[in-house]
Amino acid sequence: MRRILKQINQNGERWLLLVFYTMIVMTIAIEVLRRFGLAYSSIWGEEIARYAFIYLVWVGVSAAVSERAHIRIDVLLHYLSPRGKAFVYLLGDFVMLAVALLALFYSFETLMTSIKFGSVTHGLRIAQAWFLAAVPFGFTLTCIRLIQSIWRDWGDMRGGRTVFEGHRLFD
Amino acid sequence: MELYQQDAFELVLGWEFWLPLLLALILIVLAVPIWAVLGVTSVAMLYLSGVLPLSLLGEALFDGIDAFALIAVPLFILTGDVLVRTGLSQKLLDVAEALAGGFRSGFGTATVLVCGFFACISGSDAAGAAGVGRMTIDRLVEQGYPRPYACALVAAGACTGILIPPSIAYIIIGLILGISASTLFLAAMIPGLLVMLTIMITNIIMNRIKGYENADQGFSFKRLRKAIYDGRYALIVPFIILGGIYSGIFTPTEAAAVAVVTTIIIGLLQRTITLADFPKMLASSAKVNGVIVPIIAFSLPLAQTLAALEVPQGFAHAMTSMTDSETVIVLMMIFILIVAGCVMETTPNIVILAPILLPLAQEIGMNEIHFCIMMVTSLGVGFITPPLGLNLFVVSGLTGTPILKVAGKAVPYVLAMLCVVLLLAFVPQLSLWALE
Repeated sequence: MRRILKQINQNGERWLLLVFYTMIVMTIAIEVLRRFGLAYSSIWGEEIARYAFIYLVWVGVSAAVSERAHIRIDVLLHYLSPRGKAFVYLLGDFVMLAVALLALFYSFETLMTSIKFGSVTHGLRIAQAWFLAAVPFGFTLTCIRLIQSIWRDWGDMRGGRTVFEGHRLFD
Repeated sequence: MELYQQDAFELVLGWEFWLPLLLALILIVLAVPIWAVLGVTSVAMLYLSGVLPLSLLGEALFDGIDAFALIAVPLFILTGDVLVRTGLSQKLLDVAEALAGGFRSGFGTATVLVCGFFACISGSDAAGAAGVGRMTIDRLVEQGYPRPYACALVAAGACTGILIPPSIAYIIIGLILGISASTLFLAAMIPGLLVMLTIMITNIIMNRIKGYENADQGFSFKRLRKAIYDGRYALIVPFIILGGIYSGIFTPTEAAAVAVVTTIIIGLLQRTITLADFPKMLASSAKVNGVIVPIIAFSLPLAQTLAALEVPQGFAHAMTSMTDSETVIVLMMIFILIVAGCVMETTPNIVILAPILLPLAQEIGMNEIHFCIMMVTSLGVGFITPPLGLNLFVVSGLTGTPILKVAGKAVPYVLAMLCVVLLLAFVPQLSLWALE
């Protein structure tokens, strides 16, 4: 069980992103091929791609948080001591957490309204809720990642260790 | 009577506007990630002004990005990544080198040219900067360019990523203003190539002055033919993408998907990538997508709030009441865009400023497509201006050269691009010619 949790912690988002990315590429490519080969295209092909994209985006936020990859103006960081750096990173994490919690709250509300009224999608005719859930789902992951990150940085700051500066956006 | 009504439109913005703006500036300086800054600003402005319900946030984060056109963003990022990993980018560089063989600044010219090739395939800018930078910066240094200058050259060349179609920037501005991306792509071709040419010429001039590189190997037709033959698969891709979009066979999103699949198939057939490379490739592109798209998503509620506060009309009114001269207004718009490009990322600038500036442009009778070209090109300069120039970030991260050192060497390129912006702004034919 511990091992499974550790795996999820390390690779959870990666697996999900892999699935969504592949779904986007495959569905659009197949739609294009079908339009040429069979002169026929479906309304739900586009829908799958669109919803996979939304999941890709909001799960991606979480992945980028855990690697500290989000774009920021980091000029200030060059002039700070390690402790100051840790403080600035912590501040950034707390602001992100506040926004993520608000986003989680309001997107959850949107989701609940949709469930209440039982809205369905145009193409696939399945509950819209499955797709609306992408936003609260992504922000739940993001909040977890932020709390992990705050925990780690707090320890680093207290212990006087150099703070995690993140991986490069393009490696 | 009409005059009176116009005067009545005077917009007075209170602290419900200025306080969130001030907050945003402070948070930006404190290195808070851009998407969170935009989120805080949106929420603060919604809450203080009360023009729209806060629940707008929950809807915007879903509905705002629920657009087929936006799916082009992750696909173009992925195309750039696949090009690099399959080694097709190296083939493109060989072709560029063979083409530029006769110049004294041969490799510098080839570097800019390969940025242009990249731009025709991938619509994203930073991916191009990273891909080209990795291939060329070390070799530029070998040729005699100082490292910061080499970084600046790549950063400037990579600006063409969003200026030459296909381009994520034109997709987004089209989405915001309701203009078809294919039309914008058609209009953007000449302006984009103009920027590329200008950067190339700037490097040639700089090289003449400083004498960095003297690599005139002579132009050889045989070498070019071999390079084109070796790179034939890589060279087909831009034709598929641009040909498909321009002829109306594909939408930009579909073209991007076709490009991804084509490059992957080429890579698999040439055995430059294997299935085992996929997880890493997709994960890194997904991360970049997870950085870029949320910034768009969080700019949308802010743009909607500003619209509800009637900022666009008020701004247009304030500007036109200040001056009658169209030239001055265009110059002011460019100034605003350049400053915005310095302190903010390109995508939020497009989402927030396009609806604010368009009414002003229409007021002075500017064609909206011409406006889009001027806007995106002006913002493109922001990629190489500190403190927030994405391309500077990428090349500086790639080489470990301090960002301000690179920015210093990028000054001639900033000036050169400004000249192009002015040219495009005052000669609308350059943007509209292709549409006729």
